Amino acid sequence: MYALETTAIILVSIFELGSLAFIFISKTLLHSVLSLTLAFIGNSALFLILQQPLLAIIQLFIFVGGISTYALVGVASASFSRFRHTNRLAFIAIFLVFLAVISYPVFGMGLSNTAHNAFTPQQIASGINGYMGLFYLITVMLFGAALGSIALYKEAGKKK
Amino acid sequence: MIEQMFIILGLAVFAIGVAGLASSRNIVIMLLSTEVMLLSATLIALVFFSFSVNGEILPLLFTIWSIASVEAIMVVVFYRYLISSKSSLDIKILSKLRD
Repeated sequence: MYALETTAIILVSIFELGSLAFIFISKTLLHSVLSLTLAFIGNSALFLILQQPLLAIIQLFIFVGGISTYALVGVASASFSRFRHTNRLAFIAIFLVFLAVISYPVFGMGLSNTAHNAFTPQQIASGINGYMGLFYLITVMLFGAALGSIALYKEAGKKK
Repeated sequence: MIEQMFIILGLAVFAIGVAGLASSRNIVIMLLSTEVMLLSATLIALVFFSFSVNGEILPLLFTIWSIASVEAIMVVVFYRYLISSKSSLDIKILSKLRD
């Protein structure tokens, strides 16, 4: 069981890290957004390996169905970028140094592996009922972003 | 062992986001790397929920997902605005712009 899980984690992590690295390699914004979509799919597969199928499905719907489609339609008219947008040497250096710094405490850390929490549909109600204020704040934030985008579009139309 | 692999993968994804944000010049790529950081946040939160914490995961995940949606709105809006106002996507040129 553990060998199967480990193999799956390694395969999916190679897929996800590769597609994430391709965001900064490719010269077209469209390809960057497409590889970000692949990384979202890989993250959803990781949720499946963690035995949380409900959250995996929700995340697949929200990220791949909503966010990626929106960003893909938004940057669909992008052509090749005329400048080299990522300094690759600095990228690799910052990645390695930052990963070494923040992953240092993880080695030797053990979480209590005995109780495995699985998110079930019965937990949805208790996850929503006690947090109505938070969800109202989220709606205000989304509404503000939508209004701000409309205002910015109108501003851009005026300048022409 | 399994959870350490998951956490290190999440931290690697977060480090990719930070490195992309620090070393990129395209403003859309910078916003996309912020999305990558939010992605790693969901992964690490779910790992800690699955293996150790008794509690609610749904409010945290919904918050992160809605912030990611706002990020997507910002990607499209900034891209369209900068294209229609005939300025560049290069952050070095944008920082030199005076109104």
